[in-house]
Amino acid sequence: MTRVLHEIEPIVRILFGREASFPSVSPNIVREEEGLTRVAFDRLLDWLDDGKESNGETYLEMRRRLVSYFDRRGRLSADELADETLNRIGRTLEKDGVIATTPPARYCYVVAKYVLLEDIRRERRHVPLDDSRGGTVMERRVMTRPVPDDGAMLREQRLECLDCCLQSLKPEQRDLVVEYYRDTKRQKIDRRRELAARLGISMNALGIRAWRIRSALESCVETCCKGPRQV
Amino acid sequence: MSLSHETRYSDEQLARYLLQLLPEGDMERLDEMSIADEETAWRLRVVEDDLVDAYVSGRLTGETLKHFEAFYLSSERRRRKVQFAGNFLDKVEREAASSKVGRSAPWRLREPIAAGWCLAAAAALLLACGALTVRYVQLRSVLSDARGQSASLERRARELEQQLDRQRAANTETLNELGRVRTAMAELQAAATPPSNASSGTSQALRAIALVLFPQTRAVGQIPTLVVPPGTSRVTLELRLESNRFPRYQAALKDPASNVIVWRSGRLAPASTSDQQSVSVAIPASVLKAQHYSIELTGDDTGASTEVVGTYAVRIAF
Repeated sequence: MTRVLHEIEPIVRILFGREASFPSVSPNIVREEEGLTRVAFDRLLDWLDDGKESNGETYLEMRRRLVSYFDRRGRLSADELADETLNRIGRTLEKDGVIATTPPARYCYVVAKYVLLEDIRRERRHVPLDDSRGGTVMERRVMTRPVPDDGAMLREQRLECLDCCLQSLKPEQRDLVVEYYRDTKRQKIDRRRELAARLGISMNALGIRAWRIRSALESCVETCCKGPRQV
Repeated sequence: MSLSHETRYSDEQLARYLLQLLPEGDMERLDEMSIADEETAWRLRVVEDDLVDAYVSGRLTGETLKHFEAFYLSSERRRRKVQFAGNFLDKVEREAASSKVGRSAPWRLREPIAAGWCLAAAAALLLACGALTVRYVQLRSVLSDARGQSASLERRARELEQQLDRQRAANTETLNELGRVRTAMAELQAAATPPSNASSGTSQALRAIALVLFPQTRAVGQIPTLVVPPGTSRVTLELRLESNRFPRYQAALKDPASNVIVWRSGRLAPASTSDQQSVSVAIPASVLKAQHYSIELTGDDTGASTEVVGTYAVRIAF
């Protein structure tokens, strides 16, 4: 359920627009499954919002950042570690009521760092004897990783799903991603600059807008591909 | 979520961070900024997509390509990103090309098979929205329950606060009453001097009488006598203290012949008058007979320890 809700989040954004009030639903489920009490979770949401009501958006955004952080640091279970980080903070808020460190995002990083170190230590303790000279986990994974191409059927399926997901975009969203991601090198840079000027926004804002649409499409494709296999 | 004072990294540096090619110090700083700094978090995402697109388009070379394949592709999550990018860019380029020649049907479907996948995608969207709606309704209900419980707890807290206020008011009243009793006792004491006069029977009209007692010493002295007039309900004895070392005291009235305690007071607070310190004990007249009594005063250190601090003797006569 948690996974499904995380995956459908971008789809809901496509359907109802970027500003749609989606997220207060998903985090609750995550927390209930992880055993965080409602009081702790409510406090966590309020604390992350830092005085601004985001309807759970800040929580989701922080979770995405934490997942990326753990993933970049080579952790296999990046999602679980991100949840563990937020759980710890929630429990602290439940116990103490307040956290003095500000801003909240900085404190999240501090806790995440500890969670990372603990996970690394835990992994070292559990390395099988015959693996002890096989290099780091990262190196082993690199050596054994599958080739990105996962078969013609699956590729076909992904393409079809992508077609469908693209069709659910609004025309202006489609135009934006085509303009933003087409071409290469100098042409691409010039095109993006023109696009930003035309829309009256900065290059950064344009990049974020394009990223949101692309990310939503990516999640839509994942969900679409899982659908037929589950039936 | 902003760290405005932090170093601003270029897009190229961000790309090198994503490939673990920066020195450890910068890696850690960017680790923090990727979580705590709004702008860096977003720029990283944009730079990451551009990096992936460059790999998919075959534009990465040399060390960058080597690290991309060695590090970036080591994660399942990132491999999925690369896979998506391949298909996505393919679509983008096709769309861009078709728009050059006049686009009639944007993002055209790929022949009949597409309908099946579209149905699947539509079904997935419907399921997702359905699940979302159900969950939303459930959570609204849970939230409503929680609000109800919260209101009930607030009501209970208010009731308890009111109860506490009433209790405090009652305590204040008790303290006032205690003050009045002490004042009355002091007046009685003044009227009853010297003690020998007390035995003269001049206070027959009083319902309560009082006497000041001093601790017994080894020297044999005359035991003070207190004549209790008929109708007296309470005999108050003011027991003088040699030193006041305890917050509370307790008096025990003993029959010296049998050493049996015939009456025991509750916890008594010491009182100070000018340079004298004493403990007042009010004994019901009904427990007294015409005989000698000894009164043992015990100091009580809030339950931690007790100690006999003095013994007093008195003769009661009717």
